[in-house]
Amino acid sequence: MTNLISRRSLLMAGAGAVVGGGLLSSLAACGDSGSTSPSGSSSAGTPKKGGTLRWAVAAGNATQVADPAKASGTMPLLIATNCYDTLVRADENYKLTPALATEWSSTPDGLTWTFKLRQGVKFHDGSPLTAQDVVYSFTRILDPKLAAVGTAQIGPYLAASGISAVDASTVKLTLTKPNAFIPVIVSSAGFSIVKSATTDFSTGNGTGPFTLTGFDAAARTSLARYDGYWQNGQPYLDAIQIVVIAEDATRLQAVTSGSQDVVDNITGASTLLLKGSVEPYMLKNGGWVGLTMFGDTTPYNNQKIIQAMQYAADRKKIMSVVAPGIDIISPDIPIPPGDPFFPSGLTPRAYDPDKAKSLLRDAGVSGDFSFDVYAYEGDKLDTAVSFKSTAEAAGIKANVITWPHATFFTDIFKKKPAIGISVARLHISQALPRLYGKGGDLNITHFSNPRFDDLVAQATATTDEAKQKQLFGDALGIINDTAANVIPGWEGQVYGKNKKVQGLSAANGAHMYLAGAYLS
Amino acid sequence: MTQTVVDKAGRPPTRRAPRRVPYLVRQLVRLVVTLFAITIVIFGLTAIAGDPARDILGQYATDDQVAAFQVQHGLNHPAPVRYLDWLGGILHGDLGISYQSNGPVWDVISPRLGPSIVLVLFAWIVTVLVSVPIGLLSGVRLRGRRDAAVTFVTLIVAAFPEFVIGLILAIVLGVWLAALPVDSTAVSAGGLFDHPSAYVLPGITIALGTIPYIVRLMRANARDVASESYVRAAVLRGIGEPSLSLRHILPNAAPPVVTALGLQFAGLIGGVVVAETLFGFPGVGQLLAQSAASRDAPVVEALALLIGTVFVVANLAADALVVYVTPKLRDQVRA
Repeated sequence: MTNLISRRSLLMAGAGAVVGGGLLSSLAACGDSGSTSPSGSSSAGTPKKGGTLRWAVAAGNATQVADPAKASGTMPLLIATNCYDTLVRADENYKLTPALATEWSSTPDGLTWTFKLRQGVKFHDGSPLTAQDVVYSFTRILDPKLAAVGTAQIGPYLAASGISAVDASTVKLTLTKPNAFIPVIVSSAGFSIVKSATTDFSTGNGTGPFTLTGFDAAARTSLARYDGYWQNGQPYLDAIQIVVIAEDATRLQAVTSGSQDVVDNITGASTLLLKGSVEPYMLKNGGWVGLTMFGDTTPYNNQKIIQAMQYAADRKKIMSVVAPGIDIISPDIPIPPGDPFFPSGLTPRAYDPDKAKSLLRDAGVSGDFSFDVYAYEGDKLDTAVSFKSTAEAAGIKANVITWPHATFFTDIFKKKPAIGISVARLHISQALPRLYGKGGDLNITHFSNPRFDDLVAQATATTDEAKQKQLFGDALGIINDTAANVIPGWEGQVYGKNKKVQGLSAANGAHMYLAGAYLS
Repeated sequence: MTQTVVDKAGRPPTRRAPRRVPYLVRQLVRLVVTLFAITIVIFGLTAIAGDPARDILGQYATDDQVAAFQVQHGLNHPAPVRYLDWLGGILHGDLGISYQSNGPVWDVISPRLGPSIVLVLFAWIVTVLVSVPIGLLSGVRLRGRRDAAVTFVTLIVAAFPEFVIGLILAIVLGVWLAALPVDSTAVSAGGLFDHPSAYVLPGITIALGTIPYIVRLMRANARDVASESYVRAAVLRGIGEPSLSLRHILPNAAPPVVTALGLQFAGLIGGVVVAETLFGFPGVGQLLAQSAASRDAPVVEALALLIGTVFVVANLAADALVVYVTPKLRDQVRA
């Protein structure tokens, strides 16, 4: 009937805290910093000042909070991205630009990072930004009691005692383990800078382009222009009104009829209906979909069976069902084509049912190979079901079991060996250790390979880009060859927008950053 | 309800059952018992849904965090104890604490009550204004072309679920004709009556769920009354159709319909959840759906109890109405 949980909810890999329940509510809640390549028209002509942008989101919940460190739903993330700032801003391909920090550097060993803060930045309440605010914000994120989304990203490298203010405008992070990608990590929305000693976040007192004038995550959130924003001339809009329309069809009609200017979460063939005065705005590479298996459990500990499954997946066909119009197929790795670290020359396995059959025979399987795979409604189920149909030709019978979303993360995730899953794009320095590393919080394939761990640690520690690329490339090769997962491709986010809306951009984890948005 | 020993004529009462509990008291006892049963069902259903701590706190919550959550919300106690705590709270006007927001449930619900009440009343009025005249006209001219058309349309409308009707209305009235806003999100901006047009599409959607039923009931009653001899006598006296319908048929065909409208008022609430979610209407129906999805049991329990109470009270009111409009029953109650 109605789509209460947005259909394309991704596993929020960047979110240390929230994976289960209704909080896993939106693809816009991609976990990590920077990710996607927008398509569709963006800025054309000169920005015009003024006007109210009406924005409708699919996922809302009356009980979400506006604390940026805990932001996981669509509305809280829009608030985090537009009422607050991060030290560094990341674009869709992790290209970093200065935000609250004007420069940053590390010691050659990658163990100590220094951030210089921008001068003259003021919070919405008029108080100046100081290094103390950054220390407070980062210390909060590391507080286990808060269950912040950033904990899992930076926790393995930083302890609260390592955060210090050198002077009023310099922050120093002393790491426990070298990491050359700290600026990428702190560009995530979860690392938004709040004013020191803030405990009540209902006023949204950040340094970002908009002030929070009303917050009800289930109904309406209102933002207004912050005239004291540090970025010259921005923002252009007077105000933004964000409302919740859970039903996909109504949301689509709301933008086509002009009662809303932008709507999120356009799925499947609905994209084709965006014509006339409206058009799609696509962020590709939002996250990958796939099947994951426990690689240390029979029968998935047999390499040949996993390979048979990988050859039995008709990636083009699967992705045409899961993400029509996005068309990104992938080797069995969690990094999308186009990422700076994507190994050149690595191609997706071709669909080859005969080869899959002979691999099964080599593995000692007589007759059909049958296995149970669990998934919940949406892209995960689409992936599992379309895999099932293409794998039948190879004598692989996937028994797809549809499990309710409400209890999937309690009863199935990390408990049943084979599941259908979608995972938000993560920066490679996060994706590899967390998804495949020893002790990784998202190691759902039970992957274990000391050489891999070593390659990732070396690549993360070095500041030499060529070396990073080579080491990560080797590590990805190991994943493609031996990890117990099938990753047919990538899906994205599709927004529907009125053509008069210009200057949209995504920042800090595919969240819409609206300082440059205007109505032409 | 005073009991008279003798009637106006001075005769002793003849067929009075001795010491009967007054009707109203009996109905109120029934109401309380029903509400009590409702609380058990509501609490039981949310209790068997399992421990929400992991779902609320997330997959990566530590065991300490889970334990702290359980203590904070009393989930470490056995279900019967929790039920009594909950019930005790309700009797004191305390609906509990939301799992998600950590604030009082009432604060989450209260801003959404007003819009939903207005919406249901609007839908109910539309139902009355549309279905009574149509049913009457159709029943008076039975088997005419007008009647056939009404029968056909009501069957079609009745066959469609509310969310399909709502989508069709949104496309036709909102997109093609651009006469009404497709979504009702404007209701959350400004006062209750600042955006009247935002109530129209969800209101009509809810009403259309009930209208076919009332039309057909009205039609059947009008048909029965129209075949009575006094109506035929009126026709023979040369009374025109408008007067015949309004003065002779409607008053006699209306009582069962009035009762049904009372009962349907409660039935409209079911449509509210669907219509509010469909149109993004910021009311209790949408809140119920969202809270169920996010496993916020205290909010779901409070809303279920609220809706259950409205339902039971509306039913009671309809029962009382039956008694009031039916002389035979009225006598039994008085007796």
